[in-house]
Amino acid sequence: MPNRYRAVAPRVSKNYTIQYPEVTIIKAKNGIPVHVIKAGTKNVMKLDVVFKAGTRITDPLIPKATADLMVEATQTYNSEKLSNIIDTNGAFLFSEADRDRVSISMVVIEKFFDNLIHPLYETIHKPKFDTVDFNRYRIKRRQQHIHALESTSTIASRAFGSQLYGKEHPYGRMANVHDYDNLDLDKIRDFHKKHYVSGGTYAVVAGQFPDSNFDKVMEVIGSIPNGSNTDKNDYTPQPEEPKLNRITKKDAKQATIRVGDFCINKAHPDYATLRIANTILGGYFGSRLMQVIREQKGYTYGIGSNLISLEHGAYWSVSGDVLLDKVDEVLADIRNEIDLLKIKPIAQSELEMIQNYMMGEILQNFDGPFAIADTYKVLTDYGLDFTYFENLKEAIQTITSNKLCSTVQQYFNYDSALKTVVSCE
Amino acid sequence: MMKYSTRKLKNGLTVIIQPDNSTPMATFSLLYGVGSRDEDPNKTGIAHFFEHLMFSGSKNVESFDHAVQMAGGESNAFTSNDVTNYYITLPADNIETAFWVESDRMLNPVLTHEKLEVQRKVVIEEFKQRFLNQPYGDVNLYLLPLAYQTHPYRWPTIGSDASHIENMTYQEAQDFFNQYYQPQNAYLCVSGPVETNEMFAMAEKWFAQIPSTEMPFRQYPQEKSQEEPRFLTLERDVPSDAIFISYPMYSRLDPKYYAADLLSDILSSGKSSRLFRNLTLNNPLFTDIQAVITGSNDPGLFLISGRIDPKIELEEAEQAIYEQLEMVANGDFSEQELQKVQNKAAANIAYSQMNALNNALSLCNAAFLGDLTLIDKEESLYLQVTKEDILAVAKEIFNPQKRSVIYYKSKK
Repeated sequence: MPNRYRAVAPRVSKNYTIQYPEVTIIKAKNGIPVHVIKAGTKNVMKLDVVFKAGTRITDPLIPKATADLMVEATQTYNSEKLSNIIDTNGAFLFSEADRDRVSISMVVIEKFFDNLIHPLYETIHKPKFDTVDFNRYRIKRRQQHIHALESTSTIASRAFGSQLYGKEHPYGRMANVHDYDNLDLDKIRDFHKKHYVSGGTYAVVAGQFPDSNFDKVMEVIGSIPNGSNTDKNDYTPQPEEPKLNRITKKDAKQATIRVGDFCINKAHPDYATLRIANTILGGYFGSRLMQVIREQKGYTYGIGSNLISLEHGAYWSVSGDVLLDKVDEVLADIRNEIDLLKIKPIAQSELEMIQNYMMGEILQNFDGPFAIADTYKVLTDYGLDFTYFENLKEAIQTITSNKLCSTVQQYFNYDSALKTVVSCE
Repeated sequence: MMKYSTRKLKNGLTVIIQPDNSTPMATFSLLYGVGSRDEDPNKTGIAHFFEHLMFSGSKNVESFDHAVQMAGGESNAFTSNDVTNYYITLPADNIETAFWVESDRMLNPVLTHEKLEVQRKVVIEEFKQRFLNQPYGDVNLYLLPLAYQTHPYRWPTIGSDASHIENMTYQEAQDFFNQYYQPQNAYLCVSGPVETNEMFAMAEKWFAQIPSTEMPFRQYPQEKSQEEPRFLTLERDVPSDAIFISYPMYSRLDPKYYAADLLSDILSSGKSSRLFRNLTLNNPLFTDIQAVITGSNDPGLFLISGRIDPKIELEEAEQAIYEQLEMVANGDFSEQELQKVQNKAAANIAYSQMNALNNALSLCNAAFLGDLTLIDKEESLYLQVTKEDILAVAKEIFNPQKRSVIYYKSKK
């Protein structure tokens, strides 16, 4: 019955023009750049203040606790008052700490912004760091840490990080349960004083909001004390032996696998090509790893490959939770798929699919003001702007099978890569 | 107000178009009114299993994912108690590809024995990843059948037992498709920078000839009123004790649903909420605690769960929860607390309407619930709730005789 037209795929466009949102960069009086992105239709604003105060600087619990306690209580607003005023205005105030940076963020309906400017000011400038809050925080986090260690994927991520960089490396050191007992509030206060300064700091304001709100944001940012934010850590990696680290987790129902090695970060000119190679290997549902290990063999619910950019040394990593008795076969598959990409030219049909897919993926970064702000932040971290996507577009459109093979040869080497496997006895 | 238009095709398919030029991406969402409540108690998990099989390709689309990726898109799906929702996000220029692939698999999916066997394994791995390989992950396998004794909500969407997935046959999958995957049981929404009439024309072109046959008569066995509390103790190798308490409550369409939702927010939404402040900070018996409601078509559950500080006795922690619930049921909360959660509810509605994907999913769900105007009405439905409404639902829900409790004990 149904018509013959069904047999033919509708025509698809592959060259989308990306309407990049306009970004205005205004410097606050202390020199901190504030990036303003007017986007979206709702009167909502999102503010991120990004400090170079990540966990790499020192014992990783201190930067994390500093960021968490900043949004817990301030000098005028104790813990209860602060959470109350945030909730009453339907807003979110939160911090996120990664290895390089920390962001203090607020999402708020524009008309309630006035009610929250003072709490926001104090969060950044006058956090309370109260002893009672601190002790509650420490006990709670310690317990959450114990819980997290029950999951094979948490165990694997921690072990893999230490294995890749070395246990003492700023990116490789991991907090342990007993570290919570030694956590010291004075060190947290010092950390705030020393690292929440203008050096390396920037802010992003996105959404729809009046200029008057913006002026208030500028005051908060402009009064961040001047200071440089550099650390003297040694970032030379000291990878641990052996290359394959097998860890036992009693009663695990699945095995978690990590395979990875160092590569280049977003700021490197070859990154776009590396990103294409990574997408083919394990960066989307149609990737080689998903097709073979999930869709042909059914050994996993999901397996993928990621590029993790860090300021001092980025890496790629394959990760997945797989059937307990198929670990070695899956490792062999990962090796095989990497090796195939090195020597066998990619078929034209797959190449076309990956080009189209990745062009669409670029647009995903612009679906709404929150997505735009997040996209923009990641670029800013590496001194990039939206031209990054124009370069990526060009790399996608001009990629050749030879270029792909040589990129995989250069960056993905299974034998020299580090492997972590967490499984039952 | 959200701008959208809706139309019903002759075969019963509901089509909703929501033009939105603030995003470059379009979302195509197709919801089927079938979920785990439609399953045979001895063959649970088929609705979700079938969701996986729908990606096997169809008569004219050899590989579903290939076709979507060729159009620069990405697709996924989820299954709940009540519905199965498929969605594709892609550059708006390529929206017709979504019409093509979704109509083709509604018309004629190609299920092969081989693909069925692979997805059987994948779903079992999913079962392990979500339920068995996470601490406390298996609790719903026990809590649901404790809280529900007759209604099909008594099993989780993944299935009550991995053996049901292991034993699913090819024929059962086919029958399931034939019964439920029909235009009259489906709701389609396109959201994004699209032109409304053009979208209606595409819906007509791709979907109008798909026949609807008679739908099975569906009546779900309803729960009898619970007369006494139910208890179950589980012992597991977990770092600390936890408690899971559930009370029967209203369906998603009950007018009292909004008061119940706000009640759960008063208890546990945000750092200023009662359970969080009183039981993790001021008197830290718990390391974390939540109160949530299930927004299901048939009467749902009000769930309270928390992990207990290892130094605290489980019974003491349990009593402390009841005291908190009683305080609210006795009116010991302020107007300001209510206003706070109302503001939050209104703000969350605004935040959730900021991308095409969320909008398309919400519109499909509202259409399935039978009232598209819910999209615009819900904010005022939340704002109209009074303190008396909260009191009334708290008294009704927190009836000690109607609770089901799981004591999840650490073996260590």
